[in-house]
Formats: sequence, C-alpha cells, structure tokens
Amino acid sequence: MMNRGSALDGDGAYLMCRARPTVIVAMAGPIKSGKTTLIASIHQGFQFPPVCSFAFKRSKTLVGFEEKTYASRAASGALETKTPRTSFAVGQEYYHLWLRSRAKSQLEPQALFLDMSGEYFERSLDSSEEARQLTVLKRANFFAVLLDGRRLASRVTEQSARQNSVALVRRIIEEKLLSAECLIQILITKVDLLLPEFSEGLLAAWMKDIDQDYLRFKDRKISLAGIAASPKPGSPWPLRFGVADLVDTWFSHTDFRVAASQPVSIKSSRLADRIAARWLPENYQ
Amino acid sequence: MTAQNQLPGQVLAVGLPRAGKTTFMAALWHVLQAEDVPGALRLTRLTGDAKYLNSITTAWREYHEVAGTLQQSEELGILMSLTDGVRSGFDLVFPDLAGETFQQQWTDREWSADFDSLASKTTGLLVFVHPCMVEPLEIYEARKFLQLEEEEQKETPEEQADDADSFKQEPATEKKDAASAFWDARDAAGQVQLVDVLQSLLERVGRKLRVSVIIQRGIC
Repeated sequence: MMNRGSALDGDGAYLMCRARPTVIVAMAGPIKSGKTTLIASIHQGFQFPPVCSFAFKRSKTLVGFEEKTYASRAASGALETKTPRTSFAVGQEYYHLWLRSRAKSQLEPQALFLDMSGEYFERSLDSSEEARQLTVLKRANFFAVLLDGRRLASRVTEQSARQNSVALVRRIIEEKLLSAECLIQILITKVDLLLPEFSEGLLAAWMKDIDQDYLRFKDRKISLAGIAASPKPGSPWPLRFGVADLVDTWFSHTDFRVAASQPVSIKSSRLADRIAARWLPENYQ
Repeated sequence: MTAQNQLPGQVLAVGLPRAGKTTFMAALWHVLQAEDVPGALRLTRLTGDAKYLNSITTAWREYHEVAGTLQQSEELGILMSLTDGVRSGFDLVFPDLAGETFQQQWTDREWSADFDSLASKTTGLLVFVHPCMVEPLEIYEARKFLQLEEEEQKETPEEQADDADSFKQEPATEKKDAASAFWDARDAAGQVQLVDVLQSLLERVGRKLRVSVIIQRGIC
C-alpha cells in the first residue's frame, strides 16, 4: 500500500515525470565532489524554518533522503559529517521533491535529483564509449557539475580539478548528451575548504576566474555558483551556504519544452495516427 | 436528522509513540461524561466498548500516567455520536492506534487491512505532535552550540588549560566515524516519519482532509 520511500530507479522516475511536469537536475562530478551531500542538505534544509521561496509538499523518497542525511546528524553519534558514497553498483538513483511556492502564484513544482556514482563521470573522461552510456542526461533540465573546493584550494590539485571539469563538460556536449535547453551549472562545492574565512567577495573572484574556463562553450547556457552544503564544524561559512538559491533556481524553472518530443510528420491515414494528431497537435506537423 | 445537517465524520488520530493520543482520548471521554465545559461537544451515543475508555479516563482523572496504547490492544471500533448543540449530530470514530503502528508503517512500508479500511473512510485527521519532538540537529550545529556554551563557561586561563588537558585525555574510541554509523529506518527524524504517514494517508484517501494539529502540554 505504501511506496518504498527509497530512491527511485529509472522506471520510478519515468512514472513521476508522467504524472506532472518535472524538473530533472543531474548531479555530475568526480567521486567525493559532494553530489550526495548536496542532495542530503536540500532535504535537511526543509527540516528547519524557511530557507527558500518554497515549502515542502511531498516526497516519494523520504526514506532515501533520510538514509543519506543520517550521518550528518548529531543523533548518529559521530563527531564529523561523512555522507555515504554512492557506489557504482547502485547505478542511477533519483530523489523526488515536490514543493509549493510560498508566494501567491500557487506554483507547485516537482523535481527529481539524479545521483550517480562519480565513477560514471571519471570513466566518461577516459572513454567516449562510456560517456555515451549516460543517455539519462538527455532528459535533464539542469546539468550541475560539481567542482570540489577542497581540490581547488591546493595548488597541487587545482589544475587537474579544473581541467577535468572542463573536459567532462566538453565530452558530454560533444556526445550530444544534453538537450539544447539544458542549463549547465558549475557548482564550486566545499567553499569552506577553499576559503577558510567567510568572504563572498573572494568567492566571486574565484568564480570569475573559473568562468574563463568555460568561455569556449559559447553556444551553451552556463552559470556558476559556490556552495557549502555541509561545512566543517567551526567554519565561518553558514550551514547550507548557497543551497537555498540553487533550490529556488531549480524549482522556479518553468520551461518544460525539453521534455516534449519533437514534432513529427504524419504520412499515415491510420485512424490511430489521425486521432493522435488531433489530440496532441503540438507533437505533430 | 437530515443529510444536510449531519456531519458524518471519521477522524483518525495520528501520532508517533508518546505523542499524547491516548491521553487526549481519556480527557475527551471525561469532558463528554462530565458535561461541565460550556460549549463542549455532547455525547448522544457510544458504540463500542466503554471499558477501555473508562480505564484510561480513570487513570487520567487520578493523575496517573495514562499508558500508551499497545499494538495488540488497539481499539479500532469506538464510535461516538456527538452533537455541538447546533447541528443534530455527527459520528466521530476515534480509533486509538498505537504510536508504534505509525512508526512501523514507516519502517516496514506497509499497513494492515484494518488500517487501510479506516484510512479509506477518513474525513479528518487529529495529528498529535510531541512537544519535545526536536528538529533533527546536525553535527555542525550541535558542535557550534557546545563550543559557544563551553566558551561561556570558561572563566580563567587555568580552567581553559584544564579543559584542553581533559580534551587530550579523551579516549579515541569516543570519536565515532559517521561512515560507520549504521542507519536504521527507526533513526529517521520523527517529523519526517510523521510527514510520511500523512502523505501516505492523503494518497490513499485521494481528497483533501481536515487536519488539526495537537500539541499537548505536560507530556514531556
């Protein structure tokens, strides 16, 4: 009688998309870049007073959210937060969130967050064959590439982190895995480790610098943001820094053209085709 | 009694263990029997076993702790016909379900046929929230709070030095790695469990429900 409550597989996600317009946010990035932590922090953000323009309405994956969030809670008995990693064997998981606008607009957007092991993306860097397996990205409205702030903070790892991120975006675009309308977001995660002192000015300077890496993708819509979903205890960066803005961006998205199929020409006089063209004129020419 | 002024209602009391469902039921039964509260609902008929109601109400009146409902002794069929003095009357089905029943729905992802039957006819919910149900505090916030508290308590450099020494002597075994913390569905935040029960009920009923949220004093 009750749904499982855990993260959805592809079939479960498909059913959710059929039920109502759905924003799909695909999280991408290497292992430990913070994909699952970001998803968990979005859930945790709704346990407290309002943090964004939307209120919680429902979720089909509360059990899955809780499982990912537990290790960040004091109740776990741990002294340090350490989000469990999404393993390669798990495949692709979707987390569901249905919100309601706090404004009078009566907007009730629904989103699915696609979480995949960082191994998928690391393999994609090495092989276009592997990248082509990621067809699941074609349905995404947002392709969020997570750039690990911890790696940016070290001169030893900064360049490889930046260049791998650019290479991933290039590979995904070259393989035509994203729709034309999909917005690419470069999310600098763990900004508390990149900038020990709280400074939005310094963060803006970093983002301006990193933005240069993506100027080559002139045909794509690319935006940048910095987040600290789960800063280290004692950090001057507030908990879930930047997460509410992301949630607002994703859930304010109303352009669902990406979900629609391209119009097709009907050259058939079959009754079924004629009826389909009458009922769904936007899908037929 | 006409169909127009009758308010057939089946109200379901929902809440996690120790949220005060049985206590509320005992107090309600007292009010209905004593009829000493002006404007309160009046009982016109009771269908079902009054023995259970009498026993929990006696305990409540005599300042004893009202024992929570055990799953094996759930009362699913108490029906109170009530009137508010304006409308002719309405039926209130107040099944006393154990909090463990709702918690088990969260952990096992299923509910009984009896409960399903109740849920399908429900027109309203009484949602009991324990006053001490706290938001699921994160490690970041907990440590920030403790740090502030410790700083406030520190008065002299000597005391600070003592604190530092005692911290050094803290056994390493107490530092638990979050990754090793085994997650059990029962560890989930109480408010998340409650929300899951509510959204599952809404899906089952398929229509809007009247909801009253009840937070009782004095049951911490």
